[in-house]
Amino acid sequence: MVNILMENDVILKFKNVGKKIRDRVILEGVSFEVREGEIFGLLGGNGAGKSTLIRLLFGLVLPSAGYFYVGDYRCPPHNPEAKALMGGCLDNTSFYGNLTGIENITLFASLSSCYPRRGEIEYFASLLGFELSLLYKKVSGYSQGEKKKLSLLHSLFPLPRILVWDEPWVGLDPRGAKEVQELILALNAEERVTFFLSSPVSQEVEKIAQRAAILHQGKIKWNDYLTPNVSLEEIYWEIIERK
Amino acid sequence: MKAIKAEIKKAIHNPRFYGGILISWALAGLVVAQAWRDPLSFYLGKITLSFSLLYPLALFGPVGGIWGGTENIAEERMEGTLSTTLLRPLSRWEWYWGKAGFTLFYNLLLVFTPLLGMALLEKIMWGGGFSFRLLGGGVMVALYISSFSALSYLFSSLFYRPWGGPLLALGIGAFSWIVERLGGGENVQIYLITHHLSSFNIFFLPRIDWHQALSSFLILGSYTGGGLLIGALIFMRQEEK
Repeated sequence: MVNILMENDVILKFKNVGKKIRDRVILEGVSFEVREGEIFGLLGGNGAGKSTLIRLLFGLVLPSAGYFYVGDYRCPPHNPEAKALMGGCLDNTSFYGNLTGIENITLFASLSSCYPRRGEIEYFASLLGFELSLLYKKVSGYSQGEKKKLSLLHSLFPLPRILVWDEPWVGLDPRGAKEVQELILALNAEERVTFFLSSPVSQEVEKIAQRAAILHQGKIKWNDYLTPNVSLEEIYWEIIERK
Repeated sequence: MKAIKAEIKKAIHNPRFYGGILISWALAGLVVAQAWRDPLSFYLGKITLSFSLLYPLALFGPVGGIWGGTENIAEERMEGTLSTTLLRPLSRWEWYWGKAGFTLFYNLLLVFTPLLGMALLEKIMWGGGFSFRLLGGGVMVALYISSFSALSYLFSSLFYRPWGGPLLALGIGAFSWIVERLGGGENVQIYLITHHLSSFNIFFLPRIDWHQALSSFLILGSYTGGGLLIGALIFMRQEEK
């Protein structure tokens, strides 16, 4: 297990991160921290740069400026040790359609040197409200919501220190969204898993996050603790209208 | 190693994996059928069945080596499975070489499974068997197929369309074949990929020309190593948006 030695238990730290694709600025001067053991929500509309920021974390895209820390590891350059601390789910995580759900999970988990037993996979699948028989069916026949749940499920093997989920509620029905929310709270409370969640919907973030940031047009516009007297939605609209 | 293991797991569930091997076995079947129909030409030419298999393997093998091995880079990129893989503690370099390593292994399977089968059949029927010459010829054919696979990898790392890499690799093969047929100096021809289509013959001459064998190995090795390395360097610089 990697020893995390960062001040104030900071497990993710972005420092002036910028990303430009050709002439288009996707992210600019993004700086914020996520502390170990907290549920952190990143709120932003479509095209705000949330998914790019998450892809940056996993080295799928490289920053044009700045850097970030995952635990003790400064990135870029990316190293497998930094990625080993995280489990990820992208907004459109894809799987091999000719393999079953369980085969996909074990295949990807093996890349993290994790070899989960069927019982473990089924246990977490049931927590997510994922129909167990589906695990043994080919992914090509899955619905959008089922694929989303599979993408969340696969990121739990092995259970990482930080779970980075991009729009985990998108594509799920209200019941599915509630099950995801309950799983997040349970893993955070029982296993002290840190969550870094992105969402375009303020209500979802407000329900479970302890701290949040608002990303708008590639810039962090607000970043603070959520308290009962803070309305994320109001702040969000204020920022949008200020423009 | 993790990446190679994952490729093997994927291949086991991929019909293309079996399709390529099945085709190489079908070629072996055709050679046996031909020998059955016209045994005299085999007898007079002192040709063994396994030797006769090397030419069709070299001729059709590149197609199997390019398509049969596994999903190529562009396909994984387009499907999004490349991004899912890279969420794991695996570098792009490791992933690429795991995939390429598996393809090279697959090319050996394509060549040596029917070849060993044929050699076994010969041993049972006439008491022949697997020889050093057959091994040399088989390695040469596998390297020839691998040079096409490497070109496919190179182009596949450039494209976002799954058919781009394989088609361009076969296109280069066709171009090389046309240039060779048009004639020209031996100095140029020796560097063309298709010039080495029959290089396995070197191992079946009464006296092996080691100089020629070495130059064929070096040229095909350069295509394979160079193609894969340039493909890896291009791939390392790319992003998955």
